[in-house]
Amino acid sequence: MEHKVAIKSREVTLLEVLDRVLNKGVVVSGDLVISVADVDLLYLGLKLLLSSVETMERLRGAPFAGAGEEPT
Amino acid sequence: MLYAYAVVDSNRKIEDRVEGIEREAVRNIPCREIGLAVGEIEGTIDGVDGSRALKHEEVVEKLMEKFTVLPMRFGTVFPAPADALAALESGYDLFRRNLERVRGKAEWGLRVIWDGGKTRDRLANAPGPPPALDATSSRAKQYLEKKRVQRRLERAFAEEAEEHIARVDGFFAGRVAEKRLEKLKRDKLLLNAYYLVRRESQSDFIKAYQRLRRESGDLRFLLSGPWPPYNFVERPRAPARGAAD
Repeated sequence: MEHKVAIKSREVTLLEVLDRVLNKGVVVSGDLVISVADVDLLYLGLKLLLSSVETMERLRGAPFAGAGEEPT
Repeated sequence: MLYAYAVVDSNRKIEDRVEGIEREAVRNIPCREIGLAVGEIEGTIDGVDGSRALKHEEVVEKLMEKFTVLPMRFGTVFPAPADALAALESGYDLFRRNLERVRGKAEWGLRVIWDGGKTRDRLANAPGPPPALDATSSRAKQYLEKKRVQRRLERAFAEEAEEHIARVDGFFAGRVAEKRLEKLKRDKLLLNAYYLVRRESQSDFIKAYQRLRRESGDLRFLLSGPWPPYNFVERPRAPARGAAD
């Protein structure tokens, strides 16, 4: 996509995806729908996210300046 | 089983080949003017799996290139097309309304990270009102005074967090159609902000973000997007309780 921001860490991408696909989106009620248990991934995810941010800093050897970096 | 990816604003067939989480072809189940993009899978989804979650997202993004979409939550399955159709019918008006709301727009996510611990330390060391105690104060009085100081610090911390949030959010004023702010105010994570941005406003939105970064030395940011509008769909009714709940 035109403005897709380059998130360079696969970990961060996965966590952003998990935060959305597991916690958000359309939920249809009814017995016929089997949904994944509401894992408290928001909280868990954020802890992991922050730890991955720190990992990224170490890997880059430079202060973290936003995983978004410059838009492509 | 039919695995559901997204409600789409079309009752037409999906022309391009879109592969689902089990490499199945994704097809559209029409319901009046809208449809539900589904794929036939073996059995049910019985756990969270990173690669499947990524695939779910990939499918929704592909659909988003052709349609306006309301992404389904991961793991939603229907035993048969009739069940999917019944779900579409029951939420039809809401789906139509939401599709109109998000048409031509995409979601952007911004996580704002700060050093809340440093802020707490600074506030704790800042001169405050003199303690209402003297050498003869009872233990109860000392306890109450301690509580009073704690409450004052918490209030000051929350106010400072609120000021940062308002300042960050202010950069995007007039550039977004809708927003959702999760004001976490934790020691590391200050804010999760979700913005619904018109496609034609995305450049302006990104410029505002770049300006925010330049002018916010003490804060760090994670910007991601454009996403399908996960955070901007209303729920038809109370959420379903899954078997694993």
